[in-house]
Amino acid sequence: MKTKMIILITGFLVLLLAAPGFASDTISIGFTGPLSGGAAKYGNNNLKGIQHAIDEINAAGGIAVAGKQYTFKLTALDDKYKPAETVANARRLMSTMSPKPIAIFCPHSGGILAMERFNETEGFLMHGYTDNVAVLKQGNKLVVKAPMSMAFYNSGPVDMGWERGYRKAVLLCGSHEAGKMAEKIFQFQWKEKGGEILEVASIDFKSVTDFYPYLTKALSKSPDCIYLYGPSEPSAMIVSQARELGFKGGFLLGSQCKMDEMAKITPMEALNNTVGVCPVGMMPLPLMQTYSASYKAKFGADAIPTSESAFNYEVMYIFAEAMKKSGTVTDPYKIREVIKDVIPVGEHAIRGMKKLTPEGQFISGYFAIQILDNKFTDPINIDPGPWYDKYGATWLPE
Amino acid sequence: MDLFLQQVINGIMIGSVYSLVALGLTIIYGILGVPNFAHGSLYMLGAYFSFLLVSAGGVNYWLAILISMAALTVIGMLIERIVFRPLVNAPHLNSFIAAIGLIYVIDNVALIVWGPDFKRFPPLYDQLYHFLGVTITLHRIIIVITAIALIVLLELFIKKTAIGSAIEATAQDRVGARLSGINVTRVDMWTLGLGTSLAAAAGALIGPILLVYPAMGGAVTLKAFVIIILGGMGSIPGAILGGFILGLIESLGGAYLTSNYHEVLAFGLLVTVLAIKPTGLFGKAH
Repeated sequence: MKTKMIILITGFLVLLLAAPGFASDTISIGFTGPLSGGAAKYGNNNLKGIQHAIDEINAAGGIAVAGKQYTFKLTALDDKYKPAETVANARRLMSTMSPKPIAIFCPHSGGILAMERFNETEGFLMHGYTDNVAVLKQGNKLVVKAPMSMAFYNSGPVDMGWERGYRKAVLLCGSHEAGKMAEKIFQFQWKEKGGEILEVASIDFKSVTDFYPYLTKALSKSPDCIYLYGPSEPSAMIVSQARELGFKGGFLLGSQCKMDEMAKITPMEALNNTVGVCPVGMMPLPLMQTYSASYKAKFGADAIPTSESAFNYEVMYIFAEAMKKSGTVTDPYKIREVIKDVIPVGEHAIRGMKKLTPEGQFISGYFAIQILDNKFTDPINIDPGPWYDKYGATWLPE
Repeated sequence: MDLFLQQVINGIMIGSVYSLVALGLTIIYGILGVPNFAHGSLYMLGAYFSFLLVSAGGVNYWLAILISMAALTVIGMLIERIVFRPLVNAPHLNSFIAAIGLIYVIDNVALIVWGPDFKRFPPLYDQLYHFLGVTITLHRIIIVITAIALIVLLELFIKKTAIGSAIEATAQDRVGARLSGINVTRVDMWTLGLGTSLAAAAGALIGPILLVYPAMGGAVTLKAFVIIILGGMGSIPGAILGGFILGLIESLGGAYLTSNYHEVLAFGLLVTVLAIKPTGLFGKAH
C-alpha cells in the first residue's frame, strides 16, 4: 500500500515537473464571450474564427519565434454576455492556463471595458470585437479592435436610404448597450441630414415574444423607413411581421443585422428595399472567397462565414505575425508595438486590415449592399479613409 | 390601420399563449406546491419537437403538435418521478433549487443537441386577413382558437374525468384526498405530465410565428410567473384571465404609454394588484 502510494506520488511529481517542459512550447490564447443563452450563436461565430486560424497555424507546424517553434492552445469560457463574468473568466484564464495567455479575445464592449482595468498590469493583449469606440477611449495600450466605428458603419445605410428618398424614420433597436448607442448615433446622423424621427422604440430581445405590438404602433405613424439594430434573426422576424402588417417602405440596417443570416429566416420579397452592411461572404475580395470555401469545408456546407469569424480569424493571424516579428511570446507591449508593421498579413488578410490607428483601431475595407427586386445588388465599396479623417477613431455624438 | 383594435387583437393573440403556459404552471403549483421554473424550458422543447417533426420529418403540423404534447407529457412525468418526488419530504427550498437546476440542464442539452442557431418553421398558414382596419394572419387566428379550445378541454378534463376529479380534490386538500383513497403520488405525476403538455402545446402553437432557439423559454417563464402570481397561485381562472390581461396590457400599454418599458407595465400591474389583494385576483387566503 505504502509503496503504491509512493510510486503514485512520485509519478505525480514527475508529471508536475515535466508539464512546464511541454507547456513552454505552446502559446495560450483565451476567449471569453457568450456561449450559452440568446447570444450563444454570436459568441460561437467569434470563437470559430479564432479556432479556425489556430487550427490552420498548428496544422502548418506552428510559428517560429526567436528560433523556437510554438503551437497555439485556445481555451474558451462562457461569460453569458455579462461583464462581471468576463472579469471572473479572465482571472480564471490567467490563473489556470499554462503558460499564461498572451492574448484574450472578447466580443462585447462591456466585458472589454471591464478587462481594461487590469489587462495592462496582468500583461495580456486583447482583441475587442465591438463597434463601440468607448473601448478605445480609455487609453489602454494593449487593446486592439477590428470592427470599425458603429457611426461609420451606419453612415453607409444612412446615405443610401437618404438617396432613395426616405425622410421619415422609425427606430426599432435592441435595448442592449450597443442598441442604445445605435439609437443615439442614427438619430444624430438622420437629423443632421434633415430627416425626421417619428418613433424610437427599444426592444428587449431577451423578453419580447411578439413584435406585432411594437410594429403596430410604429407603423401607425406612417414612416417611410425603419432603422433596425439587433441580432439578425429577430431583426428578420421584425421585417417579416412589418410586411404582414402592410409596411411597404425600406429598412436601414445597423451593423449587427447580417443580411445573409436574415435571408435564411425571411423571404427575399419581404427584404426588398433593405440597405445594410454587405455580408462578408459576398464581399468582392478574392481572399474572402478562399476563406469562405475553407470555412464551409471546416464547419459544414450551410455554415455562413460572418464578420465575427472573419475579423477574429485575421486578428489571430496578426497576433501570430506580430509575435514572430517582435521575437517574444511573453511581452505583450512589444507584440502590440509591431502590429502596425505586420499588416496586412498576406493571404490571411481576408478582410483587408491594412492600417492601425494609434488608439488601436484597425482600418479595413467596407462594403454596403441593398436588396432590390428580390436579390442582392452588387456590393458598394465605401472607403473609410475620408470618414476617419473627418471624425477620427473615437468619435461619438455629444 | 386601426391602432386600438389592432393592439387588442395583438394582445388577445399573445394573451392566449400566455394563458396556456400559465395554466400548466398554475396546476403544477396547485398540486405539488413547486414553482416549476423550468416550465419555459419545457415550452421550448415543445416548440423544438414540433419544429423538427414538421421541417425534418415532414409530419402534418397538427399531428406534430399532438406528438410533442404526448412526448412532453412523458417528460413531465419523468421529471416528477426523478426530480421532484425524491424531494417531497425535503425542505421546500430543495425543490425550488431543483427546478432552477432543471432550466440549466434542459437549456444546455438543447444547446448541445440542436446548436445555438435560430430555427424558423416552414411557411404554414401565412394567409392574411383584413377587416375593420385590422390585419391578422391565419396562423394567429388558429393560435387563439386552439388555445381557447385547449383551455375548455382542460376544464372538461378536470370536471368530468376521474383523474381530473382526483387532481381537483388533491389541490383542495392533499391530506383529505389521501384519506379518501386517492393516490396523491400518482396525481403528482399526472399533473406534471398534464401541465407540461400544455407548455408543449403553447410552444408548438406559437413556434411558427416566432423563432425557435434554446433560450426561447426564459421570456415566457418570467411572464407565466407574473400571471400566476397576479391571478392567485394555483388558481385556474386566475391563470386564464391573467394571461389575457398581461397580453392586453403589453400591447395597449405599449401603444398608448411607452413601448420602451413594457416590462415595467407588467410588473407595475403585479405590484398594484398585490398591494390591494395580496393573494392575487383569485387566490384564497390560507
